[in-house]
Amino acid sequence: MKRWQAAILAAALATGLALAAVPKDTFVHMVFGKVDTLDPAQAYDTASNYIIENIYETLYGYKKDSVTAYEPRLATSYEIKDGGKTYVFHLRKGVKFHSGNPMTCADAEYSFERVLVTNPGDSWGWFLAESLIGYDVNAKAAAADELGKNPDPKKLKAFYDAYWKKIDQSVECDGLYTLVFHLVKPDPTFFAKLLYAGAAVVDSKWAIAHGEWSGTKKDWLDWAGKDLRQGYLHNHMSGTGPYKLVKWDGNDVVAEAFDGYWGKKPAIKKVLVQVVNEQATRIEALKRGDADRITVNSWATVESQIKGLPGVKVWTDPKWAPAVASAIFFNEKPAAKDNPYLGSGKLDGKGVPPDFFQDPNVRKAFAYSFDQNAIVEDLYLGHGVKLTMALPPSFLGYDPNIPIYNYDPDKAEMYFKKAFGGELWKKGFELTILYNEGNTVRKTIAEILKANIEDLNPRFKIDVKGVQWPDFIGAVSRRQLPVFVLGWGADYADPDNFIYVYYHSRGYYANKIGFKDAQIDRWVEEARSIVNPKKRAELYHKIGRRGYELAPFVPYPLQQVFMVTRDNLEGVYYNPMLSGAFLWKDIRKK
Amino acid sequence: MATLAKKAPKGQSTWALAWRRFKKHRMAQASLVIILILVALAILAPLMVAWGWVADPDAQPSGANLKSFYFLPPGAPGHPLGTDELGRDVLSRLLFGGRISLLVGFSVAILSVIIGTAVGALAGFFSGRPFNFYTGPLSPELRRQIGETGALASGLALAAGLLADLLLGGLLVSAPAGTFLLALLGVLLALLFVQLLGPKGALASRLAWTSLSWGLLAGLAWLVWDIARTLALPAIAEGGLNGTLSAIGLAVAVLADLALVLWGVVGRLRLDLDIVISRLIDFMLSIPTLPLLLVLSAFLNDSRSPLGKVAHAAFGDAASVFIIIAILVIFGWITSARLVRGQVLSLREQEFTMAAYALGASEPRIMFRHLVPNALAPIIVDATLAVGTAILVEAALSFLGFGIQPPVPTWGNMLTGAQDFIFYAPHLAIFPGLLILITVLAFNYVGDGLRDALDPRSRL
Amino acid sequence: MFEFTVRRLLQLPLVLFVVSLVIVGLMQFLPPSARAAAFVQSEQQLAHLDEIIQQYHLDAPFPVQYWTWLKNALHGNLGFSRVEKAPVWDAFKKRLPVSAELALYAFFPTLLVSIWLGVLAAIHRDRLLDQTVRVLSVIFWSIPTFVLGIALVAVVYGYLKLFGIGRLPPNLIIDLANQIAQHRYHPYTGLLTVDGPLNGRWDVAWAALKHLVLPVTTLVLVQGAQLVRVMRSSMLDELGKDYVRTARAKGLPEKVVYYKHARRNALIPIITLAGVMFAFLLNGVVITETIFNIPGLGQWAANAAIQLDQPAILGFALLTAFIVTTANIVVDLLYALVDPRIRYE
Repeated sequence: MKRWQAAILAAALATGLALAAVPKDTFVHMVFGKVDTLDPAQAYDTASNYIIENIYETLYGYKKDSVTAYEPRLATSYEIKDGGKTYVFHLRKGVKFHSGNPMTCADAEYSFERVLVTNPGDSWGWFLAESLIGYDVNAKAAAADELGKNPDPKKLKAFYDAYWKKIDQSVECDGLYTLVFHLVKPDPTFFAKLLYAGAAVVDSKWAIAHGEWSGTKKDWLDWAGKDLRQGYLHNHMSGTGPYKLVKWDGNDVVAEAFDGYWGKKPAIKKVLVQVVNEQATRIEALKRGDADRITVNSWATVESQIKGLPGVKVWTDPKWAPAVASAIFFNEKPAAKDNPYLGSGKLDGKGVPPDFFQDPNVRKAFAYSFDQNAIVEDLYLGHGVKLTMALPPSFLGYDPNIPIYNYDPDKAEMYFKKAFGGELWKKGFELTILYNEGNTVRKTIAEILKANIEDLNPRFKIDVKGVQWPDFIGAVSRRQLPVFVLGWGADYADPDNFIYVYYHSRGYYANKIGFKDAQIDRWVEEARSIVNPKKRAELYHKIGRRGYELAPFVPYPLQQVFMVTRDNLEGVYYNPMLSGAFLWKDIRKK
Repeated sequence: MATLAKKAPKGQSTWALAWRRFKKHRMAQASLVIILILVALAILAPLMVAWGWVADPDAQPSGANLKSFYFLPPGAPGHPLGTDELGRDVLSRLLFGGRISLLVGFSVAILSVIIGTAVGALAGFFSGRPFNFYTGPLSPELRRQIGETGALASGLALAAGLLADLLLGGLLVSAPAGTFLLALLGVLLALLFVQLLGPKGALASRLAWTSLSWGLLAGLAWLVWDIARTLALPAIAEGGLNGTLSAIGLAVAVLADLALVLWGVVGRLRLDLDIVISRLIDFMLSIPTLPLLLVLSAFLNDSRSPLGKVAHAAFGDAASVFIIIAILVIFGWITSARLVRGQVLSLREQEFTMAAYALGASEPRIMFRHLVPNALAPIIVDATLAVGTAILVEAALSFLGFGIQPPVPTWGNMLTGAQDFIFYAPHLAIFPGLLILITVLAFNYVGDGLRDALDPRSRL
Repeated sequence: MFEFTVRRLLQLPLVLFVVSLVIVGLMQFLPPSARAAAFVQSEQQLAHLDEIIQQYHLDAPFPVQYWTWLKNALHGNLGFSRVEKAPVWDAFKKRLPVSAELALYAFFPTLLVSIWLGVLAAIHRDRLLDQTVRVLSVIFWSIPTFVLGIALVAVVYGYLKLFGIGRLPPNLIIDLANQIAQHRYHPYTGLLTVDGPLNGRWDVAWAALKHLVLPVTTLVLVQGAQLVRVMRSSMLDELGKDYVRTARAKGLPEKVVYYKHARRNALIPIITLAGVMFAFLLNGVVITETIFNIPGLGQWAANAAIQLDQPAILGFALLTAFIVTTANIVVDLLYALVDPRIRYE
């Protein structure tokens, strides 16, 4: 090698080296998923809410890591009137938006009405609208449901007028700093709903000036059901939070501390949330100090690749369970026609009849065939939290004393022998369990069921098939799957958000699997209508226990939560209701 | 071959000569040996599992001591090349992955070359002349009569085909209106094509000239297709051997149909086949391949799309293999078609062709016995290189997640998983990567060797 | 010549039309719920699947869907990409420069290096240099792009701890975002290595260059391998021709013979290949961007195809069809410029 060549090589090597670590006032978080939208009225996924919860603010917020204790944010106090039908919030004075506009009640009224007006199908607005106006869909969808496809124009107009009136009256201002909500009926879940990241106050003057809904009846119908991802608030933010948005170009989010913030000034001044799809790259960046926190998908990765790395810290606690409940569902009414997952569709050993899971013995036999310990050990490497009912353990009403279906081949055999008057054991069956490719939890559960059930009787056969996500959701929505594995993440920290969905015959999952129990329905409705937490908790305990006896589904263990950061990060906590586990304003770096 | 043999030195056939030349190419020889070993390993893989030499590629450990099976390094007892993130044996997955990769490579190369050769030979042979084998003189009046009847017949057949599609509708596209619109668009496009690209002159004048045979063939094509799919689809849905055979039958029917329709249209409209095919190739080349490949495989791999349904019923888990082969062939025939066209174009002007004509050989005989065999040398070289290319493309598609779907292992999709652990368990990436490299390299060297060996100009 | 160009350009709409028709047609084979996949990110949204299908008219028949798309497209609205979370047109504007920067840095070095090596190898036929070039070119041609990319990431980035992944290091991403927000940095072209110096930010350009090293190396090695082979054989062909012998016989110095006469003519096939290579680059970019986490067109396209994001797939297909066709036209014109024997009627 000639000397000049060596010199060039040396120079190249030197310049490639030494990417400096992240500065002390900067927080770099490398994540996997992309932000869907920054519009608080639209966002309904964790990646988006992670940004929104740091840049916008709600009236009240969670106190650090608690899901039951609240602290005032944009409101300073509140009172409940009319036996739970009216909520009055006293707003904080002297709060400024990132645009410089002062925050008043007009902004709050605009923000909440905007959610009610737009409420597109894929947004979170349904649960706020349900409490405030009694519809869980926007005006256009509601009209289509109620009046049919080609309604009489007069009736339609009357319907719309009434709908608008409901919106208009449900949220009102009493002076500059008093916000009043009028509910359709007393709703113990309402306050928790207001803590959802998207129930934030946006800058109404700024939004209107940039072409968003005017806040009046004039153009409200144009905005009903609109995809807000195509509006100005989709990628622009003007909130009151401790951070303001600098840039979001579809991938990375850059934010910086907002000088005019009303509260304590945060220690972290600059934030970068970077989308890095390859986990290996994220880990490498963390090792190098290019990232302060990274998203890691499984305990297996933590145990094998991360624990023991210098300068890296894994945060966890046996009590850290996500605000999620997941279950194996037994479909009592799968689609009978053209259903490829039921085999022959008859009880002849080559398929299952559509009413297969209507026999409680079959459900229990399946439940006893499922090895919960295997999930905890194999998938979570011991870091699992078993569920007694379909409710996150941190929530009001969770009863840890309800028994769990543990793997018991003898009991499973007993129930299988009882099912269909003994016919099933003689003839056998065959069905298909789907999982979406890449989801190891679903896959492992399906395979555990297959192995344990086929072990009992050579005439039992379960096909486990991996498909792409579109196929999977297609099959679920067409109710074709006899057995499927899905979960529900909390929208707001109230048990009703889970109990209704899972147990009430009109709730999403119970309805999908054709589960209906009049007793449970009554309890769920009763728990919805009272405010006293103790009484509600008792009702939920009863629901959980009856759910165990009827076994329409079996909740499966949750993965214990962990976080992977550099070891100089301080103030880290875990709040299951926060998409980012903690707020940027609460951390600092050594 | 007879013509080539004349050129060869005394007592030696061209092929023996080629073999002698090939033997001088050391790398090519070594590569041939490597390929044979890889093929043998791929064929023997299931037996090796049965004999207990290697582990089952899908076997995943479970239970309490699970952790100790993840990411075993190479050299671990029972796992000579280690295990992957699910504790599966890497060596065994490599062997089974090799089966798929080689299967894809060979099938794609052979199918592309067969189709490409057929298309290229036809294009070259009929370049600048009407698209029918010369059968002797016909009076202009007779020809006109035949043509008119033919036009009528084929028009009716076409309409009947469309009608049948409408009635049978729902088999291919969910909405019958969709089928109809697509068919109509196809016809309109074909007419537009003729008007824009054909030699100057009105469309109408050319419509008048048709031949009975081509017209009937076009109609027949519709009929064949309709019958084939009505008969074959139920059998395919049943699966099993009958299903597989039916699927192959259907594929043949579709190909024959395409050929017949092309034949009918080109013949009837008296187009220059060469121009039509060249334009088609130009068009295919101007289509961006990757996005189309991605979309095609995304939708074909869906078990509810029609082809996907057929493939899944016939091949089960390995359906994506069949689909990937089909997709690669769709884009793969072009190279060999261009190559063969050029060869045939020059060969048909050569003296031995003239001699064959003079001896009274029929045109089909000239085409298949004289022209194609003489173009065989470059075709073989092309096929060899195509195997490597197909393996590369399959690997790339599988790597991006659009190719062959797990749990069926291929070298490409093994790498997808490996990338997540590249710093932690590099052996997961090294072995499949190395095998792809070696295989493609081997095919390239064999291709190079064959090129030198089959080139008469190269010295012995 | 002019007429030829116009005619080729007029073919472009036809190509675009057919490509879009094929893709929308293919998508119709999927049931609406599968096409709604791009809209459903969470299990919660799954609960509202029917509403989503209704809201975005995913169950409309094929002609209606195609017509809606076509009408909007003709008005310049290519739709909204669910994967990008932005209109397709914005995605083009944002991502095209990123891919273009990568492609340009890969394209010219590839061309120069392969011409240089190809000519050298041909001149030194069968000697050590030639052997080395040939072996290396076969090897790199046989390595899949992604294997080479992963290897570079593992060895250079992971083990040697050199260079970077992505486009810029985190602190510069933050800094630039701030500067742009305060209008102190103007992204004129979107190419960091051009905008940096224009804004007086040499550090940005320098960092961007460092981050380009690995992906560009990957592309250059794989694509160059093929060009070298073509250049070498083309040069060999020329060297065997009569005019070269004449030139030598005239007593011209070898260098003049090689570089003035033979190389010029040997370049002709390279032009064709360079056009083809440009198309290949678009494909190569998909893979390199995925591996090196570069937010360009390729990464977007791959994600869009996985999630069946119809407007995005269509947009990308149309854009690439446009680029490939234009590149082909340019190649044909260049061809005529270099070789006076070629004329287009």
